[in-house]
Amino acid sequence: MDTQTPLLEAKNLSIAYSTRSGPLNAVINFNMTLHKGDSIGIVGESGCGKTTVLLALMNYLGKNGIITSGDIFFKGKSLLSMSQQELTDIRGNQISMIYQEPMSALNPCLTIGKQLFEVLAFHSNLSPSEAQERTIETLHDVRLPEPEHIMTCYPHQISGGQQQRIVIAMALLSRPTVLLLDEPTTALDVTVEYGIIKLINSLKQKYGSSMIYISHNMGLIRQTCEDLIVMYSGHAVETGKTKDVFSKPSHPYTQGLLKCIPSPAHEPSERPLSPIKGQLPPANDRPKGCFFGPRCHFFKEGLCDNPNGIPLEKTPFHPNHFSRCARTHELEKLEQPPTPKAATRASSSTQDTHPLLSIQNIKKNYHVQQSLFSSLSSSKTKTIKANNDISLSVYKGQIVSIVGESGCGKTTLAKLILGLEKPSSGSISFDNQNISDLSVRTRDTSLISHLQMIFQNPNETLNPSLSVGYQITRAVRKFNPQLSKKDARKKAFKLFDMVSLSPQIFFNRLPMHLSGGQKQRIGISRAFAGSPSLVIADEPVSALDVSVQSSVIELLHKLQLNENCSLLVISHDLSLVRYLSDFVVVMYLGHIMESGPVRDIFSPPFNPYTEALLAAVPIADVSISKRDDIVLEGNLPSPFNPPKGCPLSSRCHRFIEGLCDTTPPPTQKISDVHSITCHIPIDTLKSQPPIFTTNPNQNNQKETKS
Amino acid sequence: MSAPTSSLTKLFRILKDIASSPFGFLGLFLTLFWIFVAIFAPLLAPFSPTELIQPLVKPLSYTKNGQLLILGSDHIGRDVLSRIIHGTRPVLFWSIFATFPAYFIGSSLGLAAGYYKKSTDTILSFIANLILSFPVLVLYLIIIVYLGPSGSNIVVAITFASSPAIFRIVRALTLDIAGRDFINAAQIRGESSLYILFIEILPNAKGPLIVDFCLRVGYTAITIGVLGFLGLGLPPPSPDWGSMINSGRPFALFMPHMVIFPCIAISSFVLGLNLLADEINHINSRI
Amino acid sequence: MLLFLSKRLGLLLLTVLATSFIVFAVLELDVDTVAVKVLGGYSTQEQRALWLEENGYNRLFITRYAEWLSNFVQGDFGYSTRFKRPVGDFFWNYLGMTAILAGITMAIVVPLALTFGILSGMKETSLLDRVLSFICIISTSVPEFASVILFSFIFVFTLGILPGTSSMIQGFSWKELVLPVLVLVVYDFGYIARITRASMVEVMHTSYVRTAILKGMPFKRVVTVHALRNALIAPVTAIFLQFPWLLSGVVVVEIAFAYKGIGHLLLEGALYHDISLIEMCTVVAVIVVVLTQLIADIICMFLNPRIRFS
Repeated sequence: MDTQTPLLEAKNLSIAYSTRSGPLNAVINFNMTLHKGDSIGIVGESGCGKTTVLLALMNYLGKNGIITSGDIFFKGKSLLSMSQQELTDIRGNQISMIYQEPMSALNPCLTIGKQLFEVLAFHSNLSPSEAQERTIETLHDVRLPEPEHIMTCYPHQISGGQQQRIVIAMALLSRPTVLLLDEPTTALDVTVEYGIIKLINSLKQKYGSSMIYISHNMGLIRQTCEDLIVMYSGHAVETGKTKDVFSKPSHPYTQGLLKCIPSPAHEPSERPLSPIKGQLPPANDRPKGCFFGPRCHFFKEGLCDNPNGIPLEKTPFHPNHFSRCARTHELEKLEQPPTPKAATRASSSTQDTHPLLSIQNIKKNYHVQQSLFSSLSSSKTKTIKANNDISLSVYKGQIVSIVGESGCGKTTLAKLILGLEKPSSGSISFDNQNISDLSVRTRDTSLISHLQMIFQNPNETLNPSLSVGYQITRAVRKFNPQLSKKDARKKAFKLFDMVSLSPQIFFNRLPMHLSGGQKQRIGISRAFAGSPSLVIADEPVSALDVSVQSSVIELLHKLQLNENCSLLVISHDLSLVRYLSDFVVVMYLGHIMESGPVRDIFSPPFNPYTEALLAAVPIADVSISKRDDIVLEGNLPSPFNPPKGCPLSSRCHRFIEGLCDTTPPPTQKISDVHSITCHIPIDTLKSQPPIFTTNPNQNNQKETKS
Repeated sequence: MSAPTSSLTKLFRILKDIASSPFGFLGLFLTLFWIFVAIFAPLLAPFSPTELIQPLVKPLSYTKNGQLLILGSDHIGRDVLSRIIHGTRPVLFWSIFATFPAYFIGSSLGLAAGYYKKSTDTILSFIANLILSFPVLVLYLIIIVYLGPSGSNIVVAITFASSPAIFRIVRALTLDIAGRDFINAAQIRGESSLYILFIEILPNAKGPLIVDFCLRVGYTAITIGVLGFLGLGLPPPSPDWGSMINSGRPFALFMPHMVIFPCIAISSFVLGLNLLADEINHINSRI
Repeated sequence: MLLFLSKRLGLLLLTVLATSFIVFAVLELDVDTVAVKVLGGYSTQEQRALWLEENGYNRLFITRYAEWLSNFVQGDFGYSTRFKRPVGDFFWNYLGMTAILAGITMAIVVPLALTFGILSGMKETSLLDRVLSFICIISTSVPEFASVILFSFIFVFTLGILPGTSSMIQGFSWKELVLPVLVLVVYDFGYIARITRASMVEVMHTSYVRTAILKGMPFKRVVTVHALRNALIAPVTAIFLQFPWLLSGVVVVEIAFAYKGIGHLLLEGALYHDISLIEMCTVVAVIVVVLTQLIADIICMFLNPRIRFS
């Protein structure tokens, strides 16, 4: 094979799915060339066609996927004309894939060893002992401890992060020339994700595989790929070197996306979010000309709605940088959309002396019964300490965020406040009333309507069998029993207006006819149905697409200011937290690791956990450089068996043997409001450099890859 | 857009959806056919089901009086076709209405067990499993023998035997639905348990329940047939299909039409329901 | 794992005990009806009272249950008023006959249904799938009494190659087994095949099957190694849950073909109000059902490592 032949090439590829209502074009006229050693990132929001492209590259589109035009070549040979046998020989051997959800990608009934072995059995001529050797070597490469032991395990016996390493090892076993990665870290926690990303980068160098990485996260692509394709509604709208595209985004969609991402390195006032208006057009009803047209600030009639479509054209910045915009060349001269004014928030944290919500030394233990019989012999019950000595206060008009990864106990805390669970000890008072023993059933209407919640998953927050109008009216009537039916309906209409959804259009719709962002807005309006004074928002935007996220964040901000209520935001996303909150509490395994005003949390001194969380945030902004020397090793400990001493001691990069693993750390006060729970002296922590450094000169920025 | 028209158009759309596949169409056709026959039985039947015309006439033959008996007559001279047509009424009526109390009890307890969990669930599930470990027919025999064969006793027997199965289905669905956020949302706005169970949870379980309903009506029709076949069916002169087969069996050797046609009737009715259930299940899983 | 088993075993005992109590309560709580059933409708009030006194029926209900239970456990199953013999004398022969019938049926149904289900679920909506699915749905729709009539009509009356009854008066005969087994197989296999198909379809849509295909495994291996084992978990439970059905189905077939099994006994007992016989049949039926469920649990445990190692 001569070096000129690309490894993998998609030419004018169009893919449609046949549905009952006719074919839907998922990918339109897609071109891509992958040479040896290349790494291409495909980025886009859900429904843009990126996963379809990836599956097509394996010629695996399921029953109803059809390649309507174009072709795919692997080492110069058309994949589409290959026989089943030829495909089987290539799949898993020359091209392998790493999947989104490792738990479901592994067969629950076969041991990991068996699942790894068969790759070599079918794709190599290695002897069993050589195969064994190769497998163990690969497991070492993905940094799994005790490979021999892990091979005898079943997938459910190991953690999510380990499962993902197995999936990666499985893909690497046959030393493939092309590696396809389908959002390989989406199901994982931030710190685990960071470890996997570093691993992928180092393996890329070691094995010299070419790779195609798809993700919705621009920051991850920046950390892993040299080249970038931005997709929107089935089209590649911008392609080029990753650094070129990110430093000179030339398509209004790319520009918009980058402006939607909250930055953990900036004050919100320096870098306000500007959401993209509107939403992705449905695949059977795309606009004429530029698909992004209706959402674009620069839309020009007669030019952007050209019925022949808009071609992918060279940008003025770099010969390999293309953009599918009719106004590419004049874009720089055009007036940018007005940046929304940064939300000016009076930092009200110290105005009131009395907190609205005050949590004192809350503990919550769950007793997990193994079975009916072991409950008879009570000694066998296991205890999970979901919340361990948590204290925090929320003042009127303040936004407090609780940050932590899965299993840190943040959701339990929300349940305790809302009265869905009772604390094992400690007290919660709201508006000077002790509510810790009041379950939600015994709370009166006024207390209930003052304490509401916004849920994480837009698909679960609304009842699928009731119209959204009914659901909002029901909440209004529940919180304001004095209102007549007519007035309640009026108020519900107002709530729809408040979250910018037209009640005339949406009131009678079932949730399934709403997009994710719209459902989330309805969920938010429901929480505000009774003029609440505290709203708990559990990961309010984590399930939404980037462009929708920012508008929902804006909405939350606006409502909080207008209604003058307090927000308690629960999130794993530090960028969001920095953007949204006044005060931050960092939790790990049921313990508070650090708490303080938002500015103090994002600058040294850090608790080592906060430091690691910050270092793990993927950054798309090329003007920011990030320290990359901090990685939390290993996995979250089992909640049944937390480490003695400091909860972080099993993973901490600043671990002190003989101290951290034996003695619980003290809580050290840095100021009245900022405290860190750690053994390391404050002065040492203070001397740490900041995680992010801003480099105002964007053009000669330094890459921050490992 | 007013509610009644929208639900009618919705029903129409669903029926169209079902009929768009050949099996779905066949299922819908057979089911609607038998419902139609049951409703208009007196108009459709050429004779009274109890009228003694002439014994043992073969199908498509004429009696001495020149009357055409399309499906022949039975051993005491009643028209088989008329008896089958009239037989749709007790069979459809009892097989549909006998399942209602079972659904009421099964779903209520299933909702309670799935929502409250803990000891409520343990106890109710144990009772359900207890009843389920009796072979169904044993249960029927004991109940029917002790209470005597009659329509209402069939209802008792079916309720007793079917409720635990429905309980299990609803319980599993409730366990799943009760963990969703909209239930939490209802709890934290202070809704009563009854509201949550019947307005928030139950409507979301309707898809699988409709499928189960179609299947269960079919099984109930078979059960009523089996009881008739064993001589424990609805008391005469009510012409249920199982009893027709039972009384015709001694003559099956030389007059097979007396038993074959009722067999075809019940099989096609159950087949229709099964195909319908299959297609609805298919549509549910697609959404 | 041992804990799991002992737990199941405990539950099993509890179930059998509870059901036996229910059966006993239903049949013998009201002593007057017991007397009527034993002595007949024409007995006088005095005769009944005397009989009740003589047989200890005037004692507390719980005492009577305890005595009945201890007799039962020791092998004294009571006296059959219909057969005028102790139940234990003839019951086991009938049970053996039913076991033969059920055993042969399952030996045919299980491989047949699994093959049908796997072939049809492996390639959803293919022509093969449609044909097999339709056959299965017909199998579940035709009641046994209808297939009894149909098969008798074909094989006995028209072709004349099989006997119409299976009473086995002249000793055991394989030929007489054919029709009962055929009816039960047709009645049963469609249901299991449909469950297998549904399970197979679901598994073929999972990510791990996609992983196996994209790992470059041949389709045959994908089906036999990756899909099959997962897809068998649901049908195994269904197959063993079929036993209560099979026991019910057996009644119709045994009556229709005059086959001397426990279905026959049960109907006789029920029609003639033979209390001891009904009690015996029911308790044994429940024990069979519960035991088969235990076996199903154990097999599932071996198929599903998530249960085995939890």
